[in-house]
Amino acid sequence: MHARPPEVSREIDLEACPEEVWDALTRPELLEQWLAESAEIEAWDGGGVDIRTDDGRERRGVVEYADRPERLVFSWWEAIPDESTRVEFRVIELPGGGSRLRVTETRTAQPVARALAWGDRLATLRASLTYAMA
Amino acid sequence: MIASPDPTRAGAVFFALGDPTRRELIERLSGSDTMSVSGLAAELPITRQGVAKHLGVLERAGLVEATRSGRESRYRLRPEPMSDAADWMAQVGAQWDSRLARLGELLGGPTKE
Repeated sequence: MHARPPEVSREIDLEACPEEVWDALTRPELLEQWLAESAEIEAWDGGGVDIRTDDGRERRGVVEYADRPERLVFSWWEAIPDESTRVEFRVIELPGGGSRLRVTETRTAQPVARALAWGDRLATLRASLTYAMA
Repeated sequence: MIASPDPTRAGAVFFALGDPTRRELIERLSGSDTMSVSGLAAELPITRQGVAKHLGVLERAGLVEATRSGRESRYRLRPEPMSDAADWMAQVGAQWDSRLARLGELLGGPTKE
């Protein structure tokens, strides 16, 4: 059985190198120029996502995976108890210079609570690792 | 402005449509007003139990509606949720189109489909 959740995928080729694209995906002052009126994405596993769109709507989320400059994955949602959706950015270096950015948003049917629990687990793991290394 | 569709329903719709047997059932149901489980089983290479199971998935996704007629249930196609899921994809796709167009202005490059 190949039941696939609904997803939307888009691609764009950019002159910027992957590192510059990564900055545009993760630095608030750059995100605010294309993603939303105000945007914060903490680019580490378990990091927070805090977005306010131009029409005043707010989205929150949690970063599931961040691998600079290639892959950034987060879940986001507009309001609890809405369902969250998952956004994945892939940055691929192009042979002639520049980058290809692919974004895929998937309707995971994952409740917000589970996305939040995932964030908590990562935060706990990170805290214990920090403690272990200290 | 497209109204925000019910997300849980859309997920169920896509799950329901992901299976070839269920797509076949939808096609049969679209050809007539209502059909019984045994009527559908007679047209397909699966058992009555198999048909009933798949119809259950379609019913939970809101894609078919059961009505009792004497001793048997008859099923009717409800196509509305399919456009609900399509609405979500159109809405989210349009959002990324405009975001990536702005990103293209920022980092240089035309939008690619």
